Amino acid sequence: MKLIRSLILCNIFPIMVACNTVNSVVPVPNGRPGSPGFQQVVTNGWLNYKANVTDVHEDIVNGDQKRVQVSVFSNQSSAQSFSYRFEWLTTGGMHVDSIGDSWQTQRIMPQETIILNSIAPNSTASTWRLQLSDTNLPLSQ
Amino acid sequence: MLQVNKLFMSLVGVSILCACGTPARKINSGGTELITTVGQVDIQDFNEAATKLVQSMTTSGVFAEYSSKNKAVLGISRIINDTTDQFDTDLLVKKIRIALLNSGKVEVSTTVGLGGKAEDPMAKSAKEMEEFKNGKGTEMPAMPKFTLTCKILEVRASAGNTKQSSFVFQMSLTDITTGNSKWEGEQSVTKQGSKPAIGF
Repeated sequence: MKLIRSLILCNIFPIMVACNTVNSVVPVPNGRPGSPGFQQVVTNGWLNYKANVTDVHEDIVNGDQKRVQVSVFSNQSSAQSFSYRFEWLTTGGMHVDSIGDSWQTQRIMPQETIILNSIAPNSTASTWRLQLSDTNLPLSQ
Repeated sequence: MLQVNKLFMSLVGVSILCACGTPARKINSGGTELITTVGQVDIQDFNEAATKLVQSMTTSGVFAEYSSKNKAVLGISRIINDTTDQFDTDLLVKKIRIALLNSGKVEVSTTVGLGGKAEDPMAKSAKEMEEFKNGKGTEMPAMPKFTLTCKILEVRASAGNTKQSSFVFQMSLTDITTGNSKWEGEQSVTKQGSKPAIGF
Protein backbone atom coordinates (compact mmCIF):
# COMPACT_ATOMS: atom_id res chain seq x y z
CA MET A 1 0.00 0.00 0.00
CA LYS A 2 2.87 2.32 0.88
CA LEU A 3 4.44 1.57 -2.48
CA ILE A 4 1.24 2.42 -4.33
CA ARG A 5 0.89 5.68 -2.40
CA SER A 6 4.46 6.73 -3.12
CA LEU A 7 4.07 5.81 -6.80
CA ILE A 8 0.88 7.89 -7.02
CA LEU A 9 2.69 10.84 -5.39
CA CYS A 10 5.61 10.41 -7.80
CA ASN A 11 3.26 10.61 -10.75
CA ILE A 12 1.08 13.46 -9.45
CA PHE A 13 4.12 15.64 -8.73
CA PRO A 14 5.21 16.09 -12.39
CA ILE A 15 1.59 16.84 -13.31
CA MET A 16 1.51 19.61 -10.65
CA VAL A 17 4.76 21.07 -11.97
CA ALA A 18 3.41 20.93 -15.52
CA CYS A 19 0.56 23.24 -14.44
CA ASN A 20 3.03 26.04 -13.74
CA THR A 21 1.67 28.64 -16.13
CA VAL A 22 2.71 32.29 -16.31
CA ASN A 23 0.74 35.29 -15.04
CA SER A 24 1.16 38.58 -16.89
CA VAL A 25 0.70 42.23 -16.04
CA VAL A 26 0.40 44.98 -18.65
CA PRO A 27 -0.22 48.71 -18.23
CA VAL A 28 -3.57 50.16 -19.26
CA PRO A 29 -2.92 53.64 -20.65
CA ASN A 30 -5.56 56.32 -20.15
CA GLY A 31 -7.62 54.11 -17.86
CA ARG A 32 -10.78 55.36 -16.18
CA PRO A 33 -10.28 57.56 -13.08
CA GLY A 34 -9.96 55.25 -10.09
CA SER A 35 -8.94 52.25 -12.20
CA PRO A 36 -5.65 50.59 -11.22
CA GLY A 37 -3.86 51.50 -14.48
CA PHE A 38 -2.82 47.92 -15.15
CA GLN A 39 -4.35 44.63 -16.13
CA GLN A 40 -3.43 41.23 -14.70
CA VAL A 41 -3.85 38.12 -16.80
CA VAL A 42 -4.07 35.32 -14.25
CA THR A 43 -3.61 31.78 -15.56
CA ASN A 44 -2.11 30.42 -12.35
CA GLY A 45 -4.35 31.12 -9.36
CA TRP A 46 -1.92 29.70 -6.81
CA LEU A 47 0.85 31.99 -8.05
CA ASN A 48 -1.52 34.95 -7.88
CA TYR A 49 -2.01 34.35 -4.15
CA LYS A 50 1.70 34.62 -3.47
CA ALA A 51 2.56 37.25 -6.09
CA ASN A 52 -0.39 39.58 -6.55
CA VAL A 53 0.32 42.94 -8.19
CA THR A 54 -1.31 45.71 -6.14
CA ASP A 55 -0.07 48.88 -7.82
CA VAL A 56 2.07 50.18 -10.66
CA HIS A 57 3.97 53.45 -11.03
CA GLU A 58 5.84 54.86 -13.99
CA ASP A 59 8.23 57.77 -14.47
CA ILE A 60 11.14 58.87 -16.66
CA VAL A 61 14.81 58.55 -15.67
CA ASN A 62 18.13 59.33 -17.34
CA GLY A 63 16.51 61.96 -19.54
CA ASP A 64 14.20 59.81 -21.66
CA GLN A 65 14.03 56.23 -20.38
CA LYS A 66 10.81 54.95 -18.87
CA ARG A 67 10.97 53.33 -15.43
CA VAL A 68 8.28 51.07 -14.00
CA GLN A 69 7.78 50.08 -10.39
CA VAL A 70 5.39 47.28 -9.46
CA SER A 71 4.26 46.36 -5.93
CA VAL A 72 3.69 42.65 -5.32
CA PHE A 73 1.86 41.27 -2.29
CA SER A 74 1.81 37.74 -0.85
CA ASN A 75 -1.17 36.71 1.26
CA GLN A 76 0.49 33.43 2.22
CA SER A 77 1.38 32.41 5.77
CA SER A 78 4.85 31.10 4.85
CA ALA A 79 7.79 32.46 2.84
CA GLN A 80 7.42 31.87 -0.91
CA SER A 81 9.51 32.21 -4.07
CA PHE A 82 8.58 33.20 -7.58
CA SER A 83 10.33 34.28 -10.76
CA TYR A 84 9.68 37.36 -12.85
CA ARG A 85 10.85 39.24 -15.88
CA PHE A 86 10.03 42.50 -17.61
CA GLU A 87 9.78 42.74 -21.39
CA TRP A 88 9.93 46.10 -23.14
CA LEU A 89 8.12 46.95 -26.38
CA THR A 90 8.02 49.88 -28.78
CA THR A 91 4.78 51.77 -29.47
CA GLY A 92 4.43 49.51 -32.52
CA GLY A 93 4.56 46.44 -30.28
CA MET A 94 8.05 45.34 -31.33
CA HIS A 95 10.17 43.68 -28.67
CA VAL A 96 13.25 45.63 -27.53
CA ASP A 97 16.19 43.50 -26.33
CA SER A 98 17.11 44.11 -22.72
CA ILE A 99 19.25 42.39 -20.11
CA GLY A 100 16.12 42.42 -17.94
CA ASP A 101 14.62 39.81 -20.29
CA SER A 102 16.12 37.05 -18.14
CA TRP A 103 14.02 35.51 -15.42
CA GLN A 104 14.96 36.55 -11.91
CA THR A 105 14.01 34.86 -8.69
CA GLN A 106 12.44 36.67 -5.76
CA ARG A 107 11.72 35.59 -2.20
CA ILE A 108 8.64 37.04 -0.50
CA MET A 109 7.80 36.78 3.18
CA PRO A 110 4.27 36.15 4.57
CA GLN A 111 1.94 39.13 4.10
CA GLU A 112 4.84 41.14 2.63
CA THR A 113 4.66 43.69 -0.17
CA ILE A 114 7.82 43.93 -2.24
CA ILE A 115 8.78 46.21 -5.11
CA LEU A 116 9.97 45.04 -8.52
CA ASN A 117 11.30 47.59 -10.96
CA SER A 118 12.69 47.84 -14.43
CA ILE A 119 14.03 50.54 -16.72
CA ALA A 120 13.44 50.69 -20.45
CA PRO A 121 16.59 49.77 -22.37
CA ASN A 122 16.29 52.97 -24.43
CA SER A 123 13.88 55.76 -25.34
CA THR A 124 12.13 53.71 -28.06
CA ALA A 125 10.85 51.22 -25.48
CA SER A 126 7.60 52.82 -24.40
CA THR A 127 5.55 50.01 -22.94
CA TRP A 128 6.23 46.91 -20.89
CA ARG A 129 4.94 43.53 -19.85
CA LEU A 130 5.66 41.82 -16.52
CA GLN A 131 5.60 38.03 -16.44
CA LEU A 132 5.41 36.09 -13.20
CA SER A 133 6.15 32.39 -12.87
CA ASP A 134 6.21 29.96 -10.00
CA THR A 135 9.58 28.53 -9.07
CA ASN A 136 10.51 24.97 -9.92
CA LEU A 137 11.16 24.07 -6.32
CA PRO A 138 7.75 23.67 -4.66
CA LEU A 139 9.04 21.17 -2.11
CA SER A 140 11.65 23.60 -0.81
CA GLN A 141 9.16 26.35 -0.08
CA MET B 1 -8.72 -6.10 -8.37
CA LEU B 2 -7.80 -6.33 -12.03
CA GLN B 3 -8.21 -2.57 -12.38
CA VAL B 4 -5.97 -1.95 -9.35
CA ASN B 5 -3.33 -4.21 -10.90
CA LYS B 6 -3.57 -2.36 -14.21
CA LEU B 7 -3.24 1.00 -12.45
CA PHE B 8 -0.30 -0.33 -10.45
CA MET B 9 1.47 -1.61 -13.56
CA SER B 10 0.93 1.62 -15.46
CA LEU B 11 2.26 3.64 -12.51
CA VAL B 12 5.31 1.35 -12.31
CA GLY B 13 5.87 1.82 -16.04
CA VAL B 14 5.68 5.61 -15.84
CA SER B 15 7.92 5.66 -12.79
CA ILE B 16 10.57 3.53 -14.54
CA LEU B 17 10.49 5.91 -17.47
CA CYS B 18 10.82 8.88 -15.11
CA ALA B 19 13.69 7.22 -13.26
CA CYS B 20 15.91 7.06 -16.35
CA GLY B 21 18.66 9.70 -16.60
CA THR B 22 17.76 13.11 -17.97
CA PRO B 23 18.43 13.21 -21.70
CA ALA B 24 20.29 16.23 -23.06
CA ARG B 25 18.08 19.11 -24.17
CA LYS B 26 18.40 22.79 -24.87
CA ILE B 27 17.08 25.19 -22.27
CA ASN B 28 16.69 28.96 -22.29
CA SER B 29 19.84 30.67 -20.91
CA GLY B 30 17.61 33.30 -19.33
CA GLY B 31 14.97 30.81 -18.23
CA THR B 32 13.86 29.30 -14.96
CA GLU B 33 15.28 25.80 -15.40
CA LEU B 34 18.96 26.65 -14.92
CA ILE B 35 21.11 24.80 -12.42
CA THR B 36 21.74 26.76 -9.23
CA THR B 37 24.96 26.01 -7.39
CA VAL B 38 26.09 27.31 -4.02
CA GLY B 39 29.84 27.67 -4.43
CA GLN B 40 30.11 29.36 -7.82
CA VAL B 41 28.64 32.23 -9.78
CA ASP B 42 25.97 30.88 -12.15
CA ILE B 43 24.87 32.42 -15.44
CA GLN B 44 21.66 33.70 -13.82
CA ASP B 45 23.70 35.41 -11.09
CA PHE B 46 25.61 37.39 -13.73
CA ASN B 47 22.28 38.30 -15.36
CA GLU B 48 20.79 39.48 -12.08
CA ALA B 49 23.86 41.48 -11.03
CA ALA B 50 24.25 43.13 -14.46
CA THR B 51 20.54 44.00 -14.67
CA LYS B 52 20.47 45.64 -11.25
CA LEU B 53 23.78 47.47 -11.70
CA VAL B 54 22.64 48.93 -15.04
CA GLN B 55 19.32 49.94 -13.44
CA SER B 56 21.19 51.70 -10.65
CA MET B 57 23.51 53.46 -13.11
CA THR B 58 20.58 54.55 -15.29
CA THR B 59 18.48 55.74 -12.35
CA SER B 60 21.38 57.89 -11.13
CA GLY B 61 21.03 59.94 -14.32
CA VAL B 62 24.77 59.92 -14.96
CA PHE B 63 24.19 59.78 -18.72
CA ALA B 64 21.09 62.02 -18.74
CA GLU B 65 22.85 64.87 -20.56
CA TYR B 66 23.96 62.56 -23.40
CA SER B 67 21.95 61.53 -26.45
CA SER B 68 22.30 59.59 -29.70
CA LYS B 69 23.94 62.69 -31.24
CA ASN B 70 26.23 63.37 -28.30
CA LYS B 71 27.35 60.06 -26.83
CA ALA B 72 29.52 59.56 -23.76
CA VAL B 73 32.62 57.44 -24.45
CA LEU B 74 33.33 54.76 -21.87
CA GLY B 75 36.66 53.02 -21.28
CA ILE B 76 36.84 49.69 -19.47
CA SER B 77 39.42 49.84 -16.71
CA ARG B 78 40.45 47.30 -14.08
CA ILE B 79 38.05 44.39 -13.50
CA ILE B 80 39.04 42.17 -10.57
CA ASN B 81 37.69 38.74 -9.78
CA ASP B 82 38.55 38.28 -6.10
CA THR B 83 36.50 35.11 -5.63
CA THR B 84 37.64 31.49 -5.47
CA ASP B 85 35.58 30.79 -8.60
CA GLN B 86 37.52 31.18 -11.85
CA PHE B 87 35.42 32.82 -14.53
CA ASP B 88 35.83 35.33 -17.31
CA THR B 89 34.75 38.74 -16.01
CA ASP B 90 33.30 39.50 -19.45
CA LEU B 91 30.34 37.36 -18.35
CA LEU B 92 29.37 40.40 -16.28
CA VAL B 93 31.03 43.35 -18.03
CA LYS B 94 29.87 42.48 -21.55
CA LYS B 95 26.23 42.50 -20.42
CA ILE B 96 26.71 45.96 -18.93
CA ARG B 97 28.45 47.23 -22.05
CA ILE B 98 25.66 45.92 -24.27
CA ALA B 99 22.98 47.52 -22.09
CA LEU B 100 24.79 50.88 -22.10
CA LEU B 101 25.33 50.74 -25.86
CA ASN B 102 21.67 49.88 -26.41
CA SER B 103 20.65 52.93 -24.37
CA GLY B 104 21.87 55.00 -27.33
CA LYS B 105 23.76 57.38 -25.04
CA VAL B 106 27.08 55.57 -24.58
CA GLU B 107 29.88 54.26 -26.79
CA VAL B 108 32.54 51.89 -25.47
CA SER B 109 36.13 52.39 -26.57
CA THR B 110 37.80 49.26 -27.90
CA THR B 111 41.04 51.05 -28.82
CA VAL B 112 41.84 52.59 -25.43
CA GLY B 113 42.45 50.02 -22.71
CA LEU B 114 44.08 49.52 -19.35
CA GLY B 115 47.90 49.85 -19.52
CA GLY B 116 47.70 51.05 -23.12
CA LYS B 117 46.47 47.65 -24.30
CA ALA B 118 43.66 47.95 -26.79
CA GLU B 119 40.85 45.40 -26.67
CA ASP B 120 40.86 45.46 -30.46
CA PRO B 121 44.51 45.91 -31.63
CA MET B 122 43.55 45.87 -35.30
CA ALA B 123 41.06 48.71 -34.81
CA LYS B 124 43.73 50.65 -32.92
CA SER B 125 46.26 50.23 -35.77
CA ALA B 126 43.66 51.18 -38.37
CA LYS B 127 42.67 54.24 -36.34
CA GLU B 128 46.33 55.32 -36.07
CA MET B 129 46.79 54.84 -39.82
CA GLU B 130 43.68 56.90 -40.48
CA GLU B 131 44.90 59.68 -38.20
CA PHE B 132 48.34 59.63 -39.86
CA LYS B 133 46.71 59.80 -43.30
CA ASN B 134 44.61 62.79 -42.22
CA GLY B 135 47.63 64.56 -40.70
CA LYS B 136 46.38 64.10 -37.15
CA GLY B 137 49.12 61.67 -36.11
CA THR B 138 50.71 64.08 -33.67
CA GLU B 139 47.45 65.12 -32.04
CA MET B 140 46.33 63.83 -28.67
CA PRO B 141 44.09 60.80 -29.22
CA ALA B 142 40.46 61.08 -28.12
CA MET B 143 40.12 59.67 -24.63
CA PRO B 144 37.04 58.24 -22.94
CA LYS B 145 34.93 60.58 -20.85
CA PHE B 146 34.26 57.85 -18.28
CA THR B 147 36.04 54.73 -17.07
CA LEU B 148 34.43 51.67 -15.49
CA THR B 149 36.06 49.59 -12.74
CA CYS B 150 34.68 46.50 -11.09
CA LYS B 151 35.55 44.14 -8.28
CA ILE B 152 33.81 40.85 -7.50
CA LEU B 153 34.11 39.56 -3.94
CA GLU B 154 32.99 36.42 -2.16
CA VAL B 155 31.87 35.74 1.41
CA ARG B 156 31.29 32.15 2.54
CA ALA B 157 29.57 30.74 5.61
CA SER B 158 28.24 27.36 6.67
CA ALA B 159 26.10 25.83 9.40
CA GLY B 160 26.21 22.04 9.55
CA ASN B 161 25.63 20.71 6.05
CA THR B 162 24.16 23.99 4.80
CA LYS B 163 26.57 26.18 2.89
CA GLN B 164 26.10 29.81 1.97
CA SER B 165 27.96 31.90 -0.59
CA SER B 166 27.56 35.62 -1.21
CA PHE B 167 29.01 37.14 -4.34
CA VAL B 168 29.34 40.90 -4.17
CA PHE B 169 29.64 42.88 -7.41
CA GLN B 170 31.07 46.38 -6.86
CA MET B 171 31.28 48.86 -9.70
CA SER B 172 32.45 52.47 -10.10
CA LEU B 173 32.12 54.95 -12.94
CA THR B 174 34.77 57.69 -12.93
CA ASP B 175 34.59 60.98 -14.80
CA ILE B 176 38.14 61.41 -16.11
CA THR B 177 37.71 65.19 -16.32
CA THR B 178 37.54 65.42 -12.53
CA GLY B 179 39.02 62.06 -11.57
CA ASN B 180 36.11 61.52 -9.22
CA SER B 181 33.53 58.77 -9.32
CA LYS B 182 30.15 59.84 -10.73
CA TRP B 183 28.35 56.64 -9.80
CA GLU B 184 29.03 53.61 -7.63
CA GLY B 185 26.92 50.51 -7.31
CA GLU B 186 26.97 47.28 -5.36
CA GLN B 187 24.89 44.19 -5.94
CA SER B 188 25.00 40.97 -3.92
CA VAL B 189 23.83 37.51 -4.85
CA THR B 190 23.52 35.11 -1.90
CA LYS B 191 22.83 31.41 -2.27
CA GLN B 192 22.29 28.76 0.37
CA GLY B 193 21.99 24.98 0.25
CA SER B 194 23.83 21.70 0.54
CA LYS B 195 23.80 20.64 -3.12
CA PRO B 196 23.07 22.12 -6.56
CA ALA B 197 19.46 22.20 -7.78
CA ILE B 198 17.62 22.81 -11.01
CA GLY B 199 15.57 25.99 -11.04
CA PHE B 200 15.86 29.15 -8.99
